[in-house]
Amino acid sequence: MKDLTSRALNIAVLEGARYADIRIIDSRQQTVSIKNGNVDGIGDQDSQGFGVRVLVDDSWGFASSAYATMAEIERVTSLAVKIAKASAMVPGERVDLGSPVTGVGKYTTPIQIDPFSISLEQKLDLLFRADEVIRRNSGVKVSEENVIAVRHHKFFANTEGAFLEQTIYESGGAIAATAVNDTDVQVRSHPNSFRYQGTSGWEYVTNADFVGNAERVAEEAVALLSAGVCPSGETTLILGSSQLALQIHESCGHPTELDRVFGTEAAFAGRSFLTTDKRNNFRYGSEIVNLTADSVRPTGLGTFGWDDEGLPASRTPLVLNGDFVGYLMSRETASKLGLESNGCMRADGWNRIPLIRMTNVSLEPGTWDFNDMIADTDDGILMETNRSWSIDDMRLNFQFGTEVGYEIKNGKRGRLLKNCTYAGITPDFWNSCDAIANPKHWILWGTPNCGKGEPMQTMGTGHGASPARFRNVKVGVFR
Amino acid sequence: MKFREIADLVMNSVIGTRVGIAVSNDTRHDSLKQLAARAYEVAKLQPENPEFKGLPRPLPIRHVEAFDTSVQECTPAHRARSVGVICRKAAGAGFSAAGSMTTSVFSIGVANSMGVFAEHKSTMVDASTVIMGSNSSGWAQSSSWRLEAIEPESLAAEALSKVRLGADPMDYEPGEYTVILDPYATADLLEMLAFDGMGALAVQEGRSWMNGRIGQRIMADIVTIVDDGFDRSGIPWPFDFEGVPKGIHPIVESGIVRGPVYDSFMAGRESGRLSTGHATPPSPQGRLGPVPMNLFLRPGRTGCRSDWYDSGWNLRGAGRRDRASDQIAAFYPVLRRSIEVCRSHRRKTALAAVRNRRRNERAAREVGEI
Repeated sequence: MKDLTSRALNIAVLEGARYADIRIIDSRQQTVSIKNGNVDGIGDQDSQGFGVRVLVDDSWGFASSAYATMAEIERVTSLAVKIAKASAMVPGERVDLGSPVTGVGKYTTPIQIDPFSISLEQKLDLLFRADEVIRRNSGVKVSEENVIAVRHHKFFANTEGAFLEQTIYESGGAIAATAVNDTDVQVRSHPNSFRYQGTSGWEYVTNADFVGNAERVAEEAVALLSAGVCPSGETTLILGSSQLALQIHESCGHPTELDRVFGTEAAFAGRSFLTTDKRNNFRYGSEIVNLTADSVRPTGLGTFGWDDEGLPASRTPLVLNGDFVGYLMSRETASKLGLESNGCMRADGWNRIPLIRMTNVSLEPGTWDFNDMIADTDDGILMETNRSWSIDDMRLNFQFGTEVGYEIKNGKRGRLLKNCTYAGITPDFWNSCDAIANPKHWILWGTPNCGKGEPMQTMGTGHGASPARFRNVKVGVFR
Repeated sequence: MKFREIADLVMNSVIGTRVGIAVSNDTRHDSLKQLAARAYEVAKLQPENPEFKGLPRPLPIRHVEAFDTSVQECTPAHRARSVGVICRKAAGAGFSAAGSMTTSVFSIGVANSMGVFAEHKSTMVDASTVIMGSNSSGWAQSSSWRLEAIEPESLAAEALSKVRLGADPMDYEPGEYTVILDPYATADLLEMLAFDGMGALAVQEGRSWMNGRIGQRIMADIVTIVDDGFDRSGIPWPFDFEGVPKGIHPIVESGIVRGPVYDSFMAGRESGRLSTGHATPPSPQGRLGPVPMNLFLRPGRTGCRSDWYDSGWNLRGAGRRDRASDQIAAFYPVLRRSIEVCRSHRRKTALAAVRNRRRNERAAREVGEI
C-alpha cells in the first residue's frame, strides 16, 4: 500500500503541491430490511477506491478513482494538481494548516462480535420474529424492521509523514409500526426513528432487543390514533434522550461547524449564528449545559482513531457551563482562529473531499433522577422519539415533532399525546434548561444520515444525552 | 473536485419470487462473476415473496438526446472562470457570494434476463449561488444538460437583484396573506408532494395525500402536474431503473387528481395495472417505491405582475437542485392566496425563517438527511 501512497504524494509535490494527502478505502455494507412479513431489501455492497487532495499555493484540488493502480494513482494525482491550479483563478485567503500531522499507527473499532460473521439467515430470523410480533396487532398497517453492518478499511498518508490504517465497524437497526385510519397516520419506532446505529459489533443490535419491544411498539402506534392532540401553548417540556440527541445535532452540532461559520455551506445548508466573535463571549445555555465533541467515546458514530486529515481522536468542549467555548474544526479553519484542529474532518467515502463533520457531540449528564424530574414538574409535556425536524439556515429558529408525548400533571405522567411539536430559538431554549438527568439515563445515539456538502455527503454522527427539562417552551400549533 | 465513479453495479438475482441484490463498483470480469454469485446467494436465503410478479419484459424505448459534448470536455478552468464571474460581481457590489458549479457525465444501462436492454447517456450542469448582504440574501440556481444554458452572469444578476430587494426586511404580523412563490419555492412544494404521495407505495400504504381523492378536484383548475421523461427543457430520462419506458404521465390535470406513478412491483399488487416507468434504483436497504423524477407544473396564462408583489408575500430563496435522479422543475411563479404565514418568535426573522426552513427541509429530504 505504501508504494501507492508514496507515488501519489511524490507526484503531487513534484507538480507543485505544498501539501497532499491520499486516502485508499475499501468499504463493505450489508443490509436486511423486512416489511409486512416480506423481505423489502437485502443485499451486500462494496466499494473500493482512492482520493487525492492537494494544496497548491492557497488553492485546493481533489480527484479520485475507483482503480487503485499505479497508473491511475499517477493520472489522478496530476489531475488533482491541475484542478488546484484552476481553483487559483478565484483566489481565496492564505491557507495555513497549522502544525504538521505526522501520526503513524493502526486502529480498529473494538467489537465483541463481527457483524459480518452473523449470517444473513440469522439476521432474517431476528427481523422476522420482531415482524411477526408487530403484525399480531391488527391495527398496524405497516411493520418494518432492518439491520445494517458496515466496515470501512482506510489508509491515510500525507506529505508530512503520516501513515495511518483504520478499520471502522458499524452495526445497527430498528423496528417500526405504522398505524393508519381514515384520517390519521401514526408511527412508533424502537430504539429510535431513522436507525439505531453505532461503531460497534453485532452486540449493539442484540442489546436493543427488537423482539422484546415489538409488542409495545405496535400497541403504542395504534394507541396514538385515538390519543389526544398535543395542546398549543407555552409549557414545561421534558425531552427524552433520543429526541434531545437530534436537538443537539441541529442546534449545537451544525452551528459549531467552523467551515459553516466561515460560509462554505452558505449556498446549500446555510451559515451559523455562532460567529467567531461569540467564542468565549456568548451565553449559549444555562450553567448546567455542557456540550462536548468527543471522538474517543466508544460506540459513537463519530468514534474513530484519526480523522481524515490524520488528527487523532480527541475530546473538546463546545459549551462549558453554559458558555460557548469551542468549534468543530479542520486544520485550515482552526488556524484562522490561531488554534489547532480538534480532528473533525471526515469524508463520505473515497470519492468525496473531507468536510468538517460532527464527531460525537453530546450533552453531558446532569444530576437528576428521571423520575424525580417528572415528580418535580407540576404541568408540562414529555416528548420522545423524533418524527420531524426543521431549523433555519443560521440554526436559530427551530421546530421539531415527535412520535409520542405524555401530559405531565402534578408530578405524574398522564395521558398519551399525538402530533407533538415544539419550537424555539436556540440560545433561549438552551438557557431555559433547568434539569438534566444523571448518567444512569444517558445514551449515546447514532445519527446515520447527516447530510452536508455539494456533492452531497452522508455521514454518521453520534449524540449522547439523558432526558432534560426546559421551561416556557412553545408547543403545539400556533396561529 | 473530480471523481470517477464506476458506481453501483447493481445485480438482482431472481429465484422464483425471491430477489437478492448485490452492489459493487468493481467492473472486472472476475468481480462481476462474484457479484452475480453474491446476489444469487442472497436470493436463495429468502422466503418466497408472493407480491413479486416478475421482472419487466422489453418494450420499445424512444431515444432522447441529452448529451452535450461541451459538458464532457468542460475543464476545471472553465468551471473556475464561471464561478469567478459570480464572485467578482458580488464583491463589486459590496456583497459576498458562495455557491458551486458541477458538470457531470453519466450513463445508465439496464438489462435483465427477460430481454430488457436499455442504455442512456447524458450530461448535466448545475450551478447555484447565494449572494449575501448584511441582512438579506439572494439565491439563484440553474440546471441543464447543455453547458451553454448555464449563464453565470444571469445567475449573478438574479441573486444580486434579490439580495438588494430583500435588504432591511420589515416586521410582518402573523396572519393570512396572498403569497407569490417563486419557481424555486414552487419546485420545493412539488417535490414535497412527490415524495409524500405521488408514488403507488404511499397510496397502497394509505399515507398519500391522494388517498380517497383520486378522480376528485382538490386543486385549483389552473394546476396541471405531469411527469415527462422526454421534456428536454429539463434533464430527460427515457426509461426507469427497471428499463421500462417513460412517457408523459398526468398526475394532476386541471386540479383533478389522476393517480400515482408505478413501478412493476407496485403495479403487480393491483390487478391489470402496468408500470408507468417510475422505478427507483433497486436498493438492498428496502424499496423507496416509484417516484416521478421529471415533474413539471404546467405554466399558467398570466405573467408575473408587479401588483402581485405589492399586495402579497414573495417567498424566495428556497433552493432547487435538479439532479439526474431527482429532477423536479417548476419554471413559473405561482400566486397562492390565503397562505398562512407561520408565527415566528422573533418577527424580525419571520420571512427568513419561513424561506430558509424550506431550503433546509429540502436539503434534508434528499435522502432523508438531517
